[in-house]
Amino acid sequence: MTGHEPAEYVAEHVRRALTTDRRVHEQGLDVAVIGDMVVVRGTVATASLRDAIGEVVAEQVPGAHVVNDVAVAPDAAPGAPEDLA
Amino acid sequence: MTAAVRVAAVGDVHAGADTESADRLRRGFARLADRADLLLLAGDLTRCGDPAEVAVVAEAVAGTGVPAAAVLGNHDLHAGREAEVSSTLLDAGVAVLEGGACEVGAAGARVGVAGVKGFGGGFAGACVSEFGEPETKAFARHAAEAAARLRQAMADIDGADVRIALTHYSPVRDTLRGEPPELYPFLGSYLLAEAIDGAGADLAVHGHAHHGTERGTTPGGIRVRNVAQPVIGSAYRLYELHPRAGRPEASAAP
Repeated sequence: MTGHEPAEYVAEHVRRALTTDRRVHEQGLDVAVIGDMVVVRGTVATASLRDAIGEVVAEQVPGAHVVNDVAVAPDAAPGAPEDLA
Repeated sequence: MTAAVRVAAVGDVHAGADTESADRLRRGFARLADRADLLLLAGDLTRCGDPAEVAVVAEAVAGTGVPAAAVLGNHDLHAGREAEVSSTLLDAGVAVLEGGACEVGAAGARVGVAGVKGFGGGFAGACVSEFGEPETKAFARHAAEAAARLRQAMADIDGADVRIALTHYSPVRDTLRGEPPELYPFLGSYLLAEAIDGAGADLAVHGHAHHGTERGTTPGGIRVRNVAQPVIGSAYRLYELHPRAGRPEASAAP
């Protein structure tokens, strides 16, 4: 449950926690609170960081259904160079 | 015809002090020396500026055998240990630029890189000024001082055949497209673009704006590239730059 606090405030508490929590330190993640559901989206560097984000969200909103839609940034070598002639 | 200089660039790799981050960087930079003459790191190399995190980056970059230049980002300053962060990179052969410049020989040309972290403040028409509360003044002053340091550093590479400006914060709005407009004052400053346009450059590279767009130009027409890793979606981006001596207009000059 996300309680009776307006969803916008709950989402912002979560966003702030994701920025300041030592396990995460990520800015620019999107957090949406929809009823009992908390959806978090964005792109991070590693799978373990994505998992840590899910943990922090769950701690911030106990009882919520956490939907962790955070992606890990692709790290393959790039294609052809861009010619800046 | 002078050969093109091949520049690899990435920002916002946000490395942790863990094997997953180390493996990711090592894999991403594999065979970089076959593809690039120079590697640019556009800040936010770490999650929170812990020296153990930057050691992961330093080892991966040193392993490439490619000359590298870096600026730090806001994440790299969070722990207040930026001196250790910088020295770890320097020990690995990475030129750390904070109002400084370096020159690298590549493809028979002198490639100059001038760099500064930069700061927010916003863009023309909606830009913070040194007015009002001390906190507001300090914010505006930090942005102006960063731009002044970049201007000085750009002067130091004036004679290079290829000139690159490297920042963490964005010099332009173009490459922020996709970010919430409310965040723009925290993502960059037009004062950086003014410094770059004033000196002239072949390319400006930055990071910081994870939801932004790769390509933009300064008001003076210099190409800008946002290489934040979530934006480019690859281990790095590659750009080919052409030394001034190889350009028709340069050879026609007196």
